[in-house]
Amino acid sequence: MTDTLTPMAVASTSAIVDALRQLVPEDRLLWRDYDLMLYEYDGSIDKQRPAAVVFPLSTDEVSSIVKACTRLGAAYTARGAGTGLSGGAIPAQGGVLISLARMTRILELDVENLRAIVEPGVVNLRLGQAVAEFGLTYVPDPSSQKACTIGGNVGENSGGPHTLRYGVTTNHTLGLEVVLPTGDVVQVGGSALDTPGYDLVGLIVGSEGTLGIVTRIWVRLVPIAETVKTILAVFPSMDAASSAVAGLIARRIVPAAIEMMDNLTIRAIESRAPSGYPVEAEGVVLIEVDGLREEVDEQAEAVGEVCRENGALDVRLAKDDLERAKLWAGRKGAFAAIGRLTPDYYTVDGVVPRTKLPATLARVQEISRESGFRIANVFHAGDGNLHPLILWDADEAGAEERVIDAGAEIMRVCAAAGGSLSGEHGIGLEKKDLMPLIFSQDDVAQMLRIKNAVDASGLCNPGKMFPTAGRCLELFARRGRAVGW
Amino acid sequence: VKTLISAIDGVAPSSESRPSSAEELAETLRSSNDAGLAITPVGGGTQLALGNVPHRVDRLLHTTGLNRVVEYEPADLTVTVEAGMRFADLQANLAEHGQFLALDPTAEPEATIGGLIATNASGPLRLAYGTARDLVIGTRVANPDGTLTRAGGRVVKNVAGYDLNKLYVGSLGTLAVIVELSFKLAPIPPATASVVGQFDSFVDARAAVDDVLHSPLSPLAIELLAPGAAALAGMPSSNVLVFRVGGYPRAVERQVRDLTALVGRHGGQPIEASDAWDSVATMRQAANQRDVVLKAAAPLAESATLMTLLQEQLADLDPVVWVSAGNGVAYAACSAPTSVDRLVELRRRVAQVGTNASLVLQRCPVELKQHLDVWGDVGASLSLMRALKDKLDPRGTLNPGRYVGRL
Repeated sequence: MTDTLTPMAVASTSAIVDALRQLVPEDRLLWRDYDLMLYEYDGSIDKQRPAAVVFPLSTDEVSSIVKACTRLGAAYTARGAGTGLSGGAIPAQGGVLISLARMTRILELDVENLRAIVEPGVVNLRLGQAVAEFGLTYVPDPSSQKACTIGGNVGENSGGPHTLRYGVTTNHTLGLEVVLPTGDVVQVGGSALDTPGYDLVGLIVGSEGTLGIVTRIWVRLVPIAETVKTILAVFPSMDAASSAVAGLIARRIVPAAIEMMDNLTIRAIESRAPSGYPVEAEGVVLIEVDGLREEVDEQAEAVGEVCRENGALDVRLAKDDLERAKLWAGRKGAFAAIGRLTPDYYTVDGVVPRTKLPATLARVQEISRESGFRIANVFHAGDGNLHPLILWDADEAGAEERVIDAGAEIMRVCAAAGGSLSGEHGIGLEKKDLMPLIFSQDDVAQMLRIKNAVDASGLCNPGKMFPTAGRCLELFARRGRAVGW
Repeated sequence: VKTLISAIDGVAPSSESRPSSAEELAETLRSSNDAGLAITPVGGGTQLALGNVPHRVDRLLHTTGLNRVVEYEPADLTVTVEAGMRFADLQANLAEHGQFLALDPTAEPEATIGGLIATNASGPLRLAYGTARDLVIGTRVANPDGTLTRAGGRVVKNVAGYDLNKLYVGSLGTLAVIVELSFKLAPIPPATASVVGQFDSFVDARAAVDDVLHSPLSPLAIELLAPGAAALAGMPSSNVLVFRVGGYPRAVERQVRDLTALVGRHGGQPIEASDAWDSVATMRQAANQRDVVLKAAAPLAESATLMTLLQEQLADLDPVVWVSAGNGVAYAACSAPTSVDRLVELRRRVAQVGTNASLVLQRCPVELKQHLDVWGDVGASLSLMRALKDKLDPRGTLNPGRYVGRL
């Protein structure tokens, strides 16, 4: 028997608002059009206004809201800080937007066990700061870490520059408390490892809020490294830069982070907040090595060698923490800097095997020429995770369609190289109709079985991840390049 | 096909098949499912002791006919292999390129990579490298309806679609049959060494571990052996702490120096044992042959509590107890008790050590198994697990009865 997506029942706005009023006070409920506008989008291109936004403070409240939605047949979507880049927090079919932004408590810092228990609304960077005084850190560090929440990170299985060596959110999440679509609350995993049974933590992390709402998270903490060195390698071409990255992996050097930026990005960064990147360079690679002094010294030396062998014009070691911080500020502020060059930019997220980086970047440049859009590259080169930023203007007629097509073309290139549609931003609304590029109909049917097993009513963040029936074929047909089965 | 597997927990299979391709395996699974036959997927057959007594075993489905390397690009530090390949063969292949799959379970030579992943087998190196869930980047499985489906991919970072890899790891073949796996690999450390210390008390040893875990030192593994385990490893019969370190030679020297000093600071006596790591492996292998093998997990700071509990509760059963002290995962191997009540009581006590502490009977005589769930009580999440099982294997074809809650 083939599973299909459950069709949506539509509850009336007034019925929804009336029901929510029974559950939370007026100051934690938004329903006027004016208030809702802020919640119709996230960091992606799509938009959809919810019928209401509700701000629960506890697991019990989340559970009662989910039950009310189920009773009414209203869709519901969880939202953290709304920084997501694939539309995960957009209420695609309207209904109730459940904002976890006020569940912000760090419930327990268990230094002895190297664990913390947090609510989903805790901002990523705040957790890092809270544990720093104990000599510990929380590893996943998305570029949006000043704003994004741990709950959102769990939903999307977020990464960040330092996940190359130490893993992404799923590798640092040990337990979850989840409000299931039935309204039941379950704890899966926890402080201890190896909980018997299916790895439901692993299933739920990265499920884009489609299998329930996470209300409590057990995370792993690790000691801060003894020594950190940050190296900036300057290259005459992106090709040389990406060969150096492939060279590092081939030489079995796995640094903490390997980040690459192209000339357009470098110039944008330097004109906004100078970070010490040479503006004439065609590409720079920011490499961080950490660990014990002795290890870091040897790694740094090896990194320098590989970069020079691959034609680096300059290999510069940050001389102190100040210079290190400046180099990283440039990288983390890169998206904002690009934002100053253009009215809008579209952040594309794709992955290729690391040996395919040079060829893939070359194709991205061709796509830039063919489409007429400038494309900036700033990305996690060490794991082959590309982030081409397509510069465009939303006011220009027909531009949106063309920019989405250019993004899809890059996805096609990644898929053909044996890669993936997303390394850390998720599928969401943005790429659901591109799923056939890497998954067969049977593959997606298997995922749909999971969805229907957990969310029988289909009300939990509907319209995400799964291709729209019939739409895949027509979507890119206008380019004569259908995506579909 | 004839094999040496005559029965699983006393339940004899009535037939077996050994397909030579994923498609053939999927077809066999489909026809078995249609015919209402209960299937037990088997790799090397080295871990059949794990799990509850099966309701039925109508057909053994061997994966050992699927034993090829599908893709290995050393420069990508990833590999894709068929599930029936022997783990040892894979490691030998990777070692030629200075790489390895960072799993070190107690594995017999016949153990297959698929079997180890389906049982979520792990070893001491998990401290540094994690477990199967951290290393598997892609899976291809055969489903009871005969479809072959993929999840994940061949790249090291990937969030496209549900992470079904996690679901298949450790699922004991109860959801689907794994036919192909992709892994991220690690470079073999250029240098390695072991530091060994002997302690009069668990508590002192545990304090030493605590110090290390909160320091920048980064051993690959920390194993704490109770006297019985130490003796079995050919070491002095006391509490023995073994650190394994690896990396660049100078960093290894530094760790050896610092760890040796730290052992002394905590009242331990450093032991000269250059072959300590092999001895620990031999001990684990020998312990695995005992009648009963238990695995207990608790928050890592409770490692010593777990050890004491296992040691005391099993004292009259000649126990061999050790713990991966950086992970809070303890093992006990012992003779079989006469009554299952002993194990039930032990499980109750372990559960009190942490909110999700657990005790799994990895190996246990059938007579005892019949009276308890070897996995323990997984609580409220069982209904969710059952919903997944019902959806993915609606006729209960795959390994019925053997998994948690006798799914």
